[in-house]
Amino acid sequence: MKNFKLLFLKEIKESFGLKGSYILSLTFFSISIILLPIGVGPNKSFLSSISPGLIWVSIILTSLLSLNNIFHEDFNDGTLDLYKTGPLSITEICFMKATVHWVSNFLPLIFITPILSIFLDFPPNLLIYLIFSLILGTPSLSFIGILGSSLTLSLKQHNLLIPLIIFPLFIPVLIFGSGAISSLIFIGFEDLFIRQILILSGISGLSVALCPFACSYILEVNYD
Amino acid sequence: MRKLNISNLTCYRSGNEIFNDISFSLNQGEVCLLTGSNGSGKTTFLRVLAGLVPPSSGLIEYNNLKSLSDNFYILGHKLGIKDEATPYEDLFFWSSVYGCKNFEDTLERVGLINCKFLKCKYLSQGQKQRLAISRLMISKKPIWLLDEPISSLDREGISLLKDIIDEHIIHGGIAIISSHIDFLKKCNFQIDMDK
Repeated sequence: MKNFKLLFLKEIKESFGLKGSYILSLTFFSISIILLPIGVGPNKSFLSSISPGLIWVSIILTSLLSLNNIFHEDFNDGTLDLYKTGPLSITEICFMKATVHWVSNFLPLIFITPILSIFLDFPPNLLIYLIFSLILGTPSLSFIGILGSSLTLSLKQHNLLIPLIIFPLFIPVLIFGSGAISSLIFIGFEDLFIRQILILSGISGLSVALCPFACSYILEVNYD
Repeated sequence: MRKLNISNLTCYRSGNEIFNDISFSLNQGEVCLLTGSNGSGKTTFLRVLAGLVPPSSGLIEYNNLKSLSDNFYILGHKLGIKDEATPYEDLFFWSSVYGCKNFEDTLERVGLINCKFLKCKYLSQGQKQRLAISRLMISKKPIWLLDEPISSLDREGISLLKDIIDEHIIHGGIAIISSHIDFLKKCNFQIDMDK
């Protein structure tokens, strides 16, 4: 546990201090949310009705920018060799990498969402539900993302392949994430929201529980 | 007496034979030198031993145990040094991981104490290699796998590395070293990967 904490803190420090990939994610997310109302038009009720989908789609597209960096940089400079021969198991390393990715890429986006939601005329009284759905749903994106990153570890075209591989796996998260909030906006029916949120939590729970093991297996056989 | 046993180790990549049927044993306190031309499989052999690449067949045992990752430390071509980190930060982290307290002494020994707060991107390749050697020293692993360790070291650095390897061997360690030049003071076993 001590080594996990040490490695986690080192990776967090690098993500926020040295790599600064969260700035790219924040910038891309902000620009896409600010540009959308300009493209869609000033119809407030229309914007408000599609805002959950727009926010979730923007989050997913933003995540694709950072997934390339989960393993590739460490693989190319030899850091992953040191981790693999170090005291942590590969499963622990995969878990740590996905957690760091979520903290350094999704958490800043979740923090900035209340401000950006103003541009989409998102109902302020539902903001807490939106944040709740993002906190529950986005971990699955990071944990599914490490699968794509590990599968394309030694390939030069990984930037193109990662989105193609993991895009189908992101669709359920998008459906239930935006669906939960849309059900509140359109129907105002909390039962439907709760059901969709439970499915979203299930997807996240399964991703957190299974993806590190799948990823560690991939890193064992695809490490060349 | 601790013993490293390698039996019938074979490795194929994309259908091509990298090395075939390598078997040998090393007792504690022994050094093995790997020689061979470029592309003869020295690096792959060391990576297989370190558990980074799975072998096609064969067995690696240390002290009659098949779980080896805790016992090997590999110093390869890719040093795993982050440009924005300083040698002090790097070694502080790894010494915390390996439970070594006197890492500043190690920095001094490898000649990096005066640039310990300089970002690694400003270090020369030789200084980066010295930093990697300092990690090797604090790892306290019994088996060292060194892939062309003198490639970017100066004469003083090579002499330092010789001394460090000697100390490791005296303390009952094992070292497997690939090198074009026989820089070692003592070598118990030599494998020509071309044969």
